[in-house]
Amino acid sequence: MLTELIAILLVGALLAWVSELISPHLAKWVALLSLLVALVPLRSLVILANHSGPQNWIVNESTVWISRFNISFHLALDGLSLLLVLLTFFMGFIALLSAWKEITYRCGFFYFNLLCSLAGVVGVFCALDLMLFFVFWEVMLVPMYLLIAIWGYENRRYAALKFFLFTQAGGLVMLLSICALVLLHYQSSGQISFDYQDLIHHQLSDTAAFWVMLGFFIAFVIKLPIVPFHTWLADAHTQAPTAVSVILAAVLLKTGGYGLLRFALPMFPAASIEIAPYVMVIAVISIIYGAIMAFAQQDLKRLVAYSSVSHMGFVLLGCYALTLQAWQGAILQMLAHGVSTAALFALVGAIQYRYHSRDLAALGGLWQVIPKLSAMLLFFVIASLGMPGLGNFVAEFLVLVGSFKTDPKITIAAASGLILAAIYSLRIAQQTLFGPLKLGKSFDLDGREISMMLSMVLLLLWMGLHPQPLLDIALQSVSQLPIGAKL
Amino acid sequence: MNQTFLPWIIISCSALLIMLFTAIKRDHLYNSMLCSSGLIIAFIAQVLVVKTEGYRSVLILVDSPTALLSALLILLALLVSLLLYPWLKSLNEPKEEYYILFLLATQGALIVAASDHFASFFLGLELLSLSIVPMIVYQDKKPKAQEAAVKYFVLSALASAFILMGVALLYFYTGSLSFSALTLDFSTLIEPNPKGASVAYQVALILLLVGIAFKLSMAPCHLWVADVFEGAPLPTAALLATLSKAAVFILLLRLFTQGHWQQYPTLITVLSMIAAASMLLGNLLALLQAQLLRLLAYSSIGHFGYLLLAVLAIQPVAGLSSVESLATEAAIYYLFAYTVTLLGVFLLLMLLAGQQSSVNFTIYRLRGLFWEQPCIAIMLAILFLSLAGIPLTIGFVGKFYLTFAAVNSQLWWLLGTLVISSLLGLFYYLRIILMMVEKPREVSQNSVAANVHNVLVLSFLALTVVGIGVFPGPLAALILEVVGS
Repeated sequence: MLTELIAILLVGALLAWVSELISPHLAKWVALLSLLVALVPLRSLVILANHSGPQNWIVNESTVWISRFNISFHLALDGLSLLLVLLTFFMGFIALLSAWKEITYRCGFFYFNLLCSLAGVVGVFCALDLMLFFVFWEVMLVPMYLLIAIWGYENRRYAALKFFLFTQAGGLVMLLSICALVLLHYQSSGQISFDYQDLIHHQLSDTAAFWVMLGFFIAFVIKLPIVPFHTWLADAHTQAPTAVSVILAAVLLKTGGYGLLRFALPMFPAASIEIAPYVMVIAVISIIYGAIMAFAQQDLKRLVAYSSVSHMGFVLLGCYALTLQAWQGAILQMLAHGVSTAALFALVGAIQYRYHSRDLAALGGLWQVIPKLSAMLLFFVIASLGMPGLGNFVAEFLVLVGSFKTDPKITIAAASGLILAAIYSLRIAQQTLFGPLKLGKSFDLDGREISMMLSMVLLLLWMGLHPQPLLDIALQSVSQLPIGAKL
Repeated sequence: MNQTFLPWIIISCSALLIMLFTAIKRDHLYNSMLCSSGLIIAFIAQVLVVKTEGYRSVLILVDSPTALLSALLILLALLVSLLLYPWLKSLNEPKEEYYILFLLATQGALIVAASDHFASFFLGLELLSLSIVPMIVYQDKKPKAQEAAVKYFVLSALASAFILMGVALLYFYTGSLSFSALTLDFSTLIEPNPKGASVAYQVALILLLVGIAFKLSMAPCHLWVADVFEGAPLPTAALLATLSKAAVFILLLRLFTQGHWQQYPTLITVLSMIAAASMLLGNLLALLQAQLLRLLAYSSIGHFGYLLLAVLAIQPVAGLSSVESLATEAAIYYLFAYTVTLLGVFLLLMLLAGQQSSVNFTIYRLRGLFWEQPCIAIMLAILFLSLAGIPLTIGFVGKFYLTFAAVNSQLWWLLGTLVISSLLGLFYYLRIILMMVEKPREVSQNSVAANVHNVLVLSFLALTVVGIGVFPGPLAALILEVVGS
């Protein structure tokens, strides 16, 4: 079923490209259609998830791929993966809709790349063979690179290159780690295997585990991203077209957090416990640094990008606080941040589409001319600063509660991130929405944009008011982390 | 003599036949077909003998790995030969001689790859290099080509001199020119000073290595390569970059395994330094290079640095695990991946150059190619991604093999260099891809006729690079079987 899911996206991608030959407008309809078709296997996955037992993988598919190294095409899904795959598809729709009118140059190839990168991300969230995981991890970069490099704004080439090089650096280090892990496993068991379920039970010596873990950790942290590896993010987000910023912020960053929860923590429990205090400090630095940098930005997209650094710091903090609540919080934070930041990027994109500017100093008084857009912006700004009743609050609160048991001092420092978030978030609202009108009139949100925004509003409200179903699914995944048993 | 030599006989006979026909009546088309069909038959014959038991004499050793690699060499020559006709037709030079030189160079490469004796090695090497020299100037009196040919000729002679000096020293100590006599037991030496003998022996090996490094254009013996690639006509440059280097690399692999070079620490240090320097220097020089052929030349320095990593990983002192023959497999796979990909790039450039005799390929010329010639541009992009080692291309499989073998042998600082230089490499490959997806200029210089011929060559390349990239299993199994036997 997972193979079908990826195949539908890839076939849709090819069809979208080819359909450009008939009519440039056909491509987006083909892309939309393929996302809708993908809902069929997705729906049966959700139904399966409701019926499956607490300890099992919901789906587990495997076929031999490279027999020389015993590499298999192994895809599997548990609660964590399911949540992130659902997020990916939801964000696919949002990205598609926000590109609907903005992209006019070579539409077919644009939607080809968009769907390919979605397929790659779904693959990353489902792959259980380390080599397969690595292949998806790298392959999703190429369409993303092209998306930024072709359809981005003025400084796009630099941003695209930087994005690719940073991620590739992490990827290569991870490749070394994967090789070392497999060879060490071979040494003790006499069998080459890249399979997650084989390698997770393998006991490494302390030093070996530390170095191998470090390779994975660096790759995931670059993707997350965490200070000092965050510099690619601001450029990539700022230069990418709106739809791509949405995918980047909502989905691609989550692959880093997913990697930590799926690979780095469960496979190297002892080494993770050892480095956890240091990582928590780094996470707090990231939270505060990201928030301060966000406050200093004049470019709206850059501001939102830096706020991502700050929010993803909470994910890292939650992952390495090593308590169930913090893990649940980290997972919920990935989802809530995905939705709220994607919405912010989409809104900034909408402003840019109308005024051709995203400079805070040039904007102002938008509420007087485009009230619907302004109301939406205000809502998501408030969500991003962690207003109770919305998803982000629940997530950050859980992370902080979970971390408090582990290290109160660090948690107090991290909590200051919430105050800083209020400062930079309110600055967005104040400088763009209120005050004297600096720019001319424009048209307000249309039906397409309103339905897009409302769906995200409802989702955030649901996460904020009734997060229990999500937390249950998350709990089922994190309670299986063997690291829990070691504590 | 058995069927092992069938491919050699076919290739030599084709060369002789072309020579005879040329003496009687010059006919370009017939000779071109004769050359290609000879190579096709030789390739089939070579593939058929891969799994037979092979042949061994004093001079020549053809075992299964050698047979497989010879098949690769013939395949490379075959692919180039398919595109020779349109290019030669546009030249004002006598055309038939090129085919003779071409076939002789191929024969030389096969001899080098199969040699088991310094005599056959040297003969093969000279046949290869001396055939390539006139092929470099084969270009309507272009001064750059003449400069390149002189440079290649002089430096190649210098390299030969180094090799001969090394061989002479080896002969002095072993009394034999055979590769199998390379393993020297110093304790049984009658020599009064075994330590001195050991030093002299290692010096001899290093002299040999210098010569080989010249031929493989590895740092610090790489200075000729960029000028020659730029000055030579595209088919010759392709042959030089793939066939000639692959043959010499196969020889290096054989010398290393047969001579058990890993027991000489000095030699390993020198090799490691050459590898690291080649990786870094090659990629650094290519970084901001705007001339496409110079860029390819520098990147090939880097790639042979990577390949050296596989050689160094053979029979490690402290391996993480005892996966047998992994390093040899890695070397063969990477060699296959790299040469096929690079040849693909050259073939595409030949298609793009079309009828123009003097081409000046800057990367700016590729601007907007993706929107004008999507097929060619996509192929070129895939090939560059393969050179950069991005998954789902054959280049990634090669790089994965290499990393796996090197991690197994714990070559950590070389692996660190590999990571850094891969990133440098990625930078300039991505730059080219970026150039291709830029908005096109008004006037296009690139013209490609979409005839059956070109489509066939392109589809074969696409099938190899992406097909093996997605399903690397069969080739991996074949190499394992061949190396393990």
